[in-house]
Amino acid sequence: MKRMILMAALVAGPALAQDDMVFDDSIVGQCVQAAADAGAAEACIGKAADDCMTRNPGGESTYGMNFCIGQEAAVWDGLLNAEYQRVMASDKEIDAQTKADGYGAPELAPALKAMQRAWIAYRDTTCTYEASQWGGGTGAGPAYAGCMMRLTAMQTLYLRDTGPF
Amino acid sequence: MNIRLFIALGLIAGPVWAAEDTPEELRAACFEMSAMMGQLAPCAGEAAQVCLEAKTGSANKGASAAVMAECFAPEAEWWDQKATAEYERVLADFQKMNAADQSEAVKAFHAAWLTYRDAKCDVAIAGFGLGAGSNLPVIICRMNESAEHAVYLSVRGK
Repeated sequence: MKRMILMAALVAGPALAQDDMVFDDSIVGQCVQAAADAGAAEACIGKAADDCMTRNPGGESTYGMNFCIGQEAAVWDGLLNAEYQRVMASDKEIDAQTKADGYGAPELAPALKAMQRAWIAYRDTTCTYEASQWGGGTGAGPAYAGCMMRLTAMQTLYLRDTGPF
Repeated sequence: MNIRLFIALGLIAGPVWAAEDTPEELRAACFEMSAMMGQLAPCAGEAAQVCLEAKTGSANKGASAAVMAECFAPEAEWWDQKATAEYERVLADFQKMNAADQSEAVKAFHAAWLTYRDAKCDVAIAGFGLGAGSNLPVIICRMNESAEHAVYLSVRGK
């Protein structure tokens, strides 16, 4: 029985810790909204993860960092998706108008799609490169997660600055 | 002194004095300052601005897209070469250390970056229309992206 309890505790440990950890998913959105320009918005990157690492016991352990950074990365990923859809919808409208007007301008929507596809490969290889610099060390996990969060946020802010406003 | 010669010398000396540094020196200083700060300082394109002032008397007025392209193209080229040089330096360092994982990682990263840069800069020109007269937005986009990549490699490649 004692052994079973011990085993159960070992198995449940990380799951419990994750359930207990608090992440405020309103920080990123509020910070970006309040930012006056792209430079100020860049300062929002990492704020929610920092808050999570500070307010949770064990938040600064490798496990805690992975959790907190992963949570913030997920928030940015949602924002990025929304920005991409917004710009894509606008690009398609402009392309249709350009075609109707008879201009021979290169289309915007396929260029945006190609860029986003190239960005995904760029993001993954950048973060693999950054993680590789930790060798096999425990820092590689948080380094990869932090890189994904940073690049996803940067791409969100780049698309956010792309018209229409 | 002959007044005409004086004016002529003044005119010639003017921009040289204002610029003081050659475009090469301005760009190298920008790269070094950025590497020290750990991120691209807002100085990419400075040499192109000096070039515009020399051509038009003002960096912000009266320059046609063609003249701007003449000034920005050499700077975009310089940063492109800097990015390549930094990549080759980083790769050579990893290879010297027999760091196979890092070597492969930086190769894949640099190749993906190049594809991404060109795709991103295509977005800059899309919608402008054929015969818009200049690919200036592409030139400036490539300059900025290459500068950022060169500085990134110099900071993260040590």
